[in-house]
Amino acid sequence: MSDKRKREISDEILISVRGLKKSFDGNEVLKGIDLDIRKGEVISIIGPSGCGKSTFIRSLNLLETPDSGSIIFEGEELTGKKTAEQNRIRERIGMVFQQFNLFKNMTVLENIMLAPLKLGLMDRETAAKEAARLLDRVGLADKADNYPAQLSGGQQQRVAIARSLAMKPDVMLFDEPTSALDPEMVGEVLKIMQDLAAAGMTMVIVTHEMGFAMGVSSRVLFIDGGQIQEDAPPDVLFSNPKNQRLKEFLGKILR
Amino acid sequence: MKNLYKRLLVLALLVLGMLTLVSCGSDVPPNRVFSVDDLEGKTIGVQLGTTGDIYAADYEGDDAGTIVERYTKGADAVSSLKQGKIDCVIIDEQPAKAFINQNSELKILDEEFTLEDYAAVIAKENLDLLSKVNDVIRELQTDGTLKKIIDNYIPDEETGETVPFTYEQKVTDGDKLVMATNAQFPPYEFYQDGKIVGIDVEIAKAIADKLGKVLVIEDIEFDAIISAVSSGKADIGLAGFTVTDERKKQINFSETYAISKQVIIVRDDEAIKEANSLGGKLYNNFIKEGRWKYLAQGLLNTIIITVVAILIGVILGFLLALVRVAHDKNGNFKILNFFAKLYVTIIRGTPIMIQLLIIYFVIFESVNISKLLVAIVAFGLNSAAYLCEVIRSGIMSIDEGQFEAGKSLGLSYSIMMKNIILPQALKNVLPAIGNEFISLLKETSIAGYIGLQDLTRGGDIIRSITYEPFLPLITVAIVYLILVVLLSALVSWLERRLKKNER
Repeated sequence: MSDKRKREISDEILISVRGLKKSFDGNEVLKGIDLDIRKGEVISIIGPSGCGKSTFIRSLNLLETPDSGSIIFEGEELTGKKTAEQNRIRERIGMVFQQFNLFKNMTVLENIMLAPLKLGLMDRETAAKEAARLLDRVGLADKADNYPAQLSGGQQQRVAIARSLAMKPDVMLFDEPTSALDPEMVGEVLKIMQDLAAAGMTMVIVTHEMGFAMGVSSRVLFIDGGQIQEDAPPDVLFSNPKNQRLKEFLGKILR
Repeated sequence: MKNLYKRLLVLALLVLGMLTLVSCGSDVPPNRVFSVDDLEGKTIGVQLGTTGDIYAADYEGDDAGTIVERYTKGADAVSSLKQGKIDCVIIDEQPAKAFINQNSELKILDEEFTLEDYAAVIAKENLDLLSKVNDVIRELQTDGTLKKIIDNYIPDEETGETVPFTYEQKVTDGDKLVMATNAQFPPYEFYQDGKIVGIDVEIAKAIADKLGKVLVIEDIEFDAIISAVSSGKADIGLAGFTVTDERKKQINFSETYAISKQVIIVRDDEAIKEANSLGGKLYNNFIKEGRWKYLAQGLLNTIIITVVAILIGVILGFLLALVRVAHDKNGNFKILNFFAKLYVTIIRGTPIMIQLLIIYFVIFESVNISKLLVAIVAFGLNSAAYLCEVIRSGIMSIDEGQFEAGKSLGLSYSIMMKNIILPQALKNVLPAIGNEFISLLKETSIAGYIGLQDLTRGGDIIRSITYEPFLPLITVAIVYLILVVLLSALVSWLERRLKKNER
């Protein structure tokens, strides 16, 4: 669990967020978020439910459209782009969902191949080969021809990760990837994420797994009330929390 | 499959058996009408829109509680009389004679009402045709052809014999003269050996000939003939039309070509009831003169209308659903969506029969268009509205997560719809789509309203010849049942095939 010490974190800023605001029906969920994400960083976002952390991570690939503020990804401003341009940028931002969201009408292999194939990034043969390689990487080579409904939650989430990786993204967003899983399956998914982090993938993770946040992250953000309350390396944030609300939050979780 | 056939057979036999029991158990009450004075307080059957109807309406709502039952076909009124559902039928003399020739247990009361004149109907604005038709009728009267035509169908009062005569058509090619009629009115117009024949038909042949045109006969409902002629769907209407002031407001009448009177048909209690065996009935209804062909032709038309209408419905309904969903999900196509919604509201908010009539008589008013095509268009458009909502609900029921996963991979809306959403949505709504197909198949039974000979009308024609409602109706019902069972089997086969994907 000490990979993070050795990680290469460059100075190159991959995503730069400034003044991000978002309301739902007059209820302000994000009240102005500023954040720089460097290449190679693994950032865990923690916070009480309803604090806006999910909305924040979903804003990073424009699944939620911000009301104001800017998101600059690899030098390109995302907000206000046309749908076609948004799609082109989303190809480089992988996302893993709480509910896996595998395409139910396709086999595991087809799920992974679909996007590279339909977006013309690979021919069928290459896509199939790449999908098989990724499946092997997440330990599900034997499930290639199964349908999602035939897999366990943990297996589905591993396929979902492989599906995102097939697009060779520059950053991976994880929105509570283990929250919908039975406890015995959490480990297998975290293991894959840990391997990814070790391989140098830039990752943003909304999570309730404090152990994982502490062991794998290079930085932990505490969001509450629609704002980043604390932003520090995990050892600092967990051992010496300054923010009063963070103290209460950790007090409730780490009993 | 074995199981399916068994189920089908059992169902069909059950229905047949039940109805046979019902029909055997009925007792026909004795006749209660012996003269015009007895009409008060009785149930009188008439054909809708005929002078018999107008006459009977005078009694309707009187203190004695007279009831007038209006049938679209004279033959149906006669069938009801035979079964004791009504007390008498008021109808034109010649059809009445034809009816009692076929039905020994009925008789005509020896009383006459006012004499009436039969004339052809022609659209108000078509004065040119009117004067030409009048010339021809006068000519036929002068040279004795008219008498020959009538003598062929109506026996001489003294000798009781007819004199065979057929008008020979000389013109076989060229412009068409379209005649609208209702071929359930012997001896003026009726089916014989699969063709429409009768006095009116012979006269129309002569008129067409003298005008140098080829005669085309359209068999439609009696109460639709005047609108068919005035809208230009037909050039001339010949269907034993009595000249009345009411009708003169809508249409022009030609010179009269025949004289008729209204008579009362009642049950003849003295007559010996025919005890017809089932075999004899089967022969009479289906084998004799190749009458099964009315059903076969009707079945073919029903299948053609249903299949093509389903195709139109699926394609158009699909496009409409895509517009509606794109609007609801992304806010696109505001104007198109408005029209799609309007379309669905109008189609679902009005009866299909009215839509069919509007498309035939109003939208294609003066276009000479195949009725089969009109029916296909009407049922296709109707089905599209229902399928639009079915498919839309299927798409909207797909979990938002499927869309989000697609978006997060950078897939465009169209790639997502085609590869992810629609395959799932269609599988989910397949049972509902199958249901719509079944409704559509059965709804086509109203195609007879624009004179299209579908399965239902095929049975109606047989009924109008044999006056036996039982076998033609049951047979038609069983054929529909078989079609529906086959259609549902097809849908569940599709369902099973798609189910393989998941469990």
